[in-house]
Amino acid sequence: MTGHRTVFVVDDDEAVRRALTFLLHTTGHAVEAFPSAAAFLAGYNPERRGCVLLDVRMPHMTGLELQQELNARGWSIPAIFITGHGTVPIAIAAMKAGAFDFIEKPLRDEALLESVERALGWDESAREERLELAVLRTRAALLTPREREVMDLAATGEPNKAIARRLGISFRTVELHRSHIIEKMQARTVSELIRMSILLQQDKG
Amino acid sequence: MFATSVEQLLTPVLRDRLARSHPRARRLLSALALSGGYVVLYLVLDRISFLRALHGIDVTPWNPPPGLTLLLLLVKGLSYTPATVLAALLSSQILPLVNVPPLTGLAAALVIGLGYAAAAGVLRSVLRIDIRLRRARDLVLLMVVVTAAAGFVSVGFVAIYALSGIIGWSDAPEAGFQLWIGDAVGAVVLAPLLLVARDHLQSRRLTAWRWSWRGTLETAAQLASIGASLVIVFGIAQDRYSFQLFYLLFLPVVWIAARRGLGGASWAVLAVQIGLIAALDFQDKSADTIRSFQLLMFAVAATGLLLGAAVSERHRVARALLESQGRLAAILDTARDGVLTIDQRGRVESVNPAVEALFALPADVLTGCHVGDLLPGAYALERLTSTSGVASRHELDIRRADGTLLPVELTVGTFGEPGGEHYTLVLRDIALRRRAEATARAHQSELAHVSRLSLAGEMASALAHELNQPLTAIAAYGRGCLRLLRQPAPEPLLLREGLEQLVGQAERAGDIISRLREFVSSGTTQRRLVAVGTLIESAVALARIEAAQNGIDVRVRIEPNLPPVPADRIQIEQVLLNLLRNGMEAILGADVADRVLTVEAARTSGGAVEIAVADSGPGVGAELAAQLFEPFVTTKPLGMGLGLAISRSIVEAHQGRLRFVRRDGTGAVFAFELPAHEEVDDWA
Repeated sequence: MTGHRTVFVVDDDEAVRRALTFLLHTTGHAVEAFPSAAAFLAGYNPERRGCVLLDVRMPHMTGLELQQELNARGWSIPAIFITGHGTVPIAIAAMKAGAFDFIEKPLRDEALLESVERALGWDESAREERLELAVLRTRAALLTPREREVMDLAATGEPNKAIARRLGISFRTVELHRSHIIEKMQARTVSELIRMSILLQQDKG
Repeated sequence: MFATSVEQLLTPVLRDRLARSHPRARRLLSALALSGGYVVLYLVLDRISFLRALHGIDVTPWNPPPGLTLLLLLVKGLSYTPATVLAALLSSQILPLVNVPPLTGLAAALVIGLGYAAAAGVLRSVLRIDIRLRRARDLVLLMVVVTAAAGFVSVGFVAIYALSGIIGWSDAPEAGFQLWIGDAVGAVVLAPLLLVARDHLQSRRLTAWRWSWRGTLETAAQLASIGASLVIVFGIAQDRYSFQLFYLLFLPVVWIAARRGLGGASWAVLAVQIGLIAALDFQDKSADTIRSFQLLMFAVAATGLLLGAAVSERHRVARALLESQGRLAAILDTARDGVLTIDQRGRVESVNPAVEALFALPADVLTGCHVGDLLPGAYALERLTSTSGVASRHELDIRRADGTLLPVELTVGTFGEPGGEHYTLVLRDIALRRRAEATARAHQSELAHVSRLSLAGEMASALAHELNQPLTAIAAYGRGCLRLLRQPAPEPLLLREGLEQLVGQAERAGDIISRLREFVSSGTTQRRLVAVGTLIESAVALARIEAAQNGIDVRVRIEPNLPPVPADRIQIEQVLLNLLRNGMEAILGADVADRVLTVEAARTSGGAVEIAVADSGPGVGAELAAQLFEPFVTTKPLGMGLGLAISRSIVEAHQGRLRFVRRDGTGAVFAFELPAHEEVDDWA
């Protein structure tokens, strides 16, 4: 199952690059190494699952700049920063910019591998979430505007009576909308429908 | 002196007022008083010498007034000529037994006054004699010119008197001859005496005169000898023999001249002259006889005075020599430098006390030594004598009597005639200077060490990152290998590769640490011959760490076949690293697109090796350029401002120089020269 997940190592120091590759190989990870941020940006396909392991301090384009570039391109691959002595402030800046984690050099392999596992897991779930959301969005596109209004109000826990009064329609009409909604959204239970509604609202907001 | 005496007659108040309000009137008064005194003395002398006057006019075989006239004109100048004319005129109107018409008298007086004025003028301005008669030359010229002048004056005088009919033309030659002899002898006897007496009076104040029994006795004996000679010549001997025995009179004059020089001789000559005239007058000799004796008197005077002048001159030279020897001895005795003289064969002739102190040996042991016994073997005589001159100084160690070595600076000088040269060796104790230099060097190297530590501190972040790289790799390989070993069937090839990589990275870390430790720890300076390439490569290796992290390209260009340089490797590396870091910071501070540092080494036209560090930064402003090398001048927020100051002192301690090369537009260049091996003077 880990076969199609790749750890991308980006470091200008060849020895470190090769050592990390060696270590990750021994733990069964697929590894691809790049000597610079630019090389990674050129060679990475955002469809590919995995995580990036990169050095904060690199010539030309630093780790932080790479993170910002990933954000700008909308690539959500999680990035783990390896920071040397005295570069913690830069690492914190990277975290604020959306980095997944940072690990101090010299590396403890448990910390590194644990972080890599978490990043890969996060990538996995993030991708699943994105997939589910995409499905929901296509289903939600079938709803009429009135049905969407009813769903959002229902998700807040309002009873049908209160919804009918709020929208100025009859109790019966509300019940009719709800059955259409459950059908279109393929929700099995009311609680599932509420979750879907919240996800869509978050996506919008 | 007449002026002084006349002035003293005035009341102090009057004198003071005169001096203050009418300086010119005061000078005129002095001149008039002096002229008056002269005229009176002239007339008195003329009256005394008015013996055997020819035909009643003032032509006598002994005529001293011209001596007085010459004194006045030589000492006071030709502006007193009117006084001399006046004196001669008065003399012609007062003394003669016949009546001399005033016009004739005036004409004759003009001849006399102008004649002697011309003589004085020639002596003063043309021949430039020293009127103190310190040299025999001055006396000879005085006698020759005076005798000649007396001749001209005599001819003129007699011609005027003959023309005016006071004497007959037939008497003229005799009168002229008598006047010539009288004037010449009178002047030759009196003028030197007066000039020397004047000099004596003036210098008397400086030299204390001491009375002694011996001196008094000698003076008495010399006076007695003159008296005795006169008595023998004119008293005991009868008329006939006076002439033959006259030569006895030379003896006391020569004696006195030999003992007392010109001063004594002139007095002796005067004494003989007076005795001679007195004796002849007493014996009532004829003018003709007196004239003959006066000719002999001229010979006595000339001989005595010339001998006296020669003796005086010799005394003076001997005294001057003694004085200069004394001065030299005083200088040498008090000199702190050792001065010794050696002859052509290298034998020590003399030493001063400082030499005794330098070698800790007494002078009598040192003199007679050979120079080779005193100086190290390298300082052979030929070498010393070929390198004389102030410009060439040698530093060497001499061995003292107690066996210790003393560093000295040696300068060699030459004196004496070609072929017979002597040499002076001046030895200066430079132990103190050496110590001071050593202390300065120690301070400098301490300071350099401190600055190296701070430089390393500034680079700490870059170095830590650089060290972290191999450590990260080592840890990764190590963990990876452990993981492989935990597998049921570890792959040996993979394991081996991991371990090999691990060891390689450990060595890489070790290299960085040892290079850094070498750079930081050395506090002592060690100068050896180093290849320029090695110097540059090891400094650049340290600088590259930081440069690479900042994306700066470091380029090195070293001219082939550079000679090695004698240098303290660590210190020169420090200078290079300083320059490289400065360049790097300039590039980073300006955020330029082209990030290049260039290190170049080349041979200069002077044979030295120049190493230049150029950066692609914004360059150095004129204001900062002026004080670049001042300590504590910095543009860096955390800098001490010591880097360039210390770099320069390091380079200068290597007999090189560090300079900033102005470059238009792009970047700054710092360059330093190091003398190449073959041109360093390791002579001593």
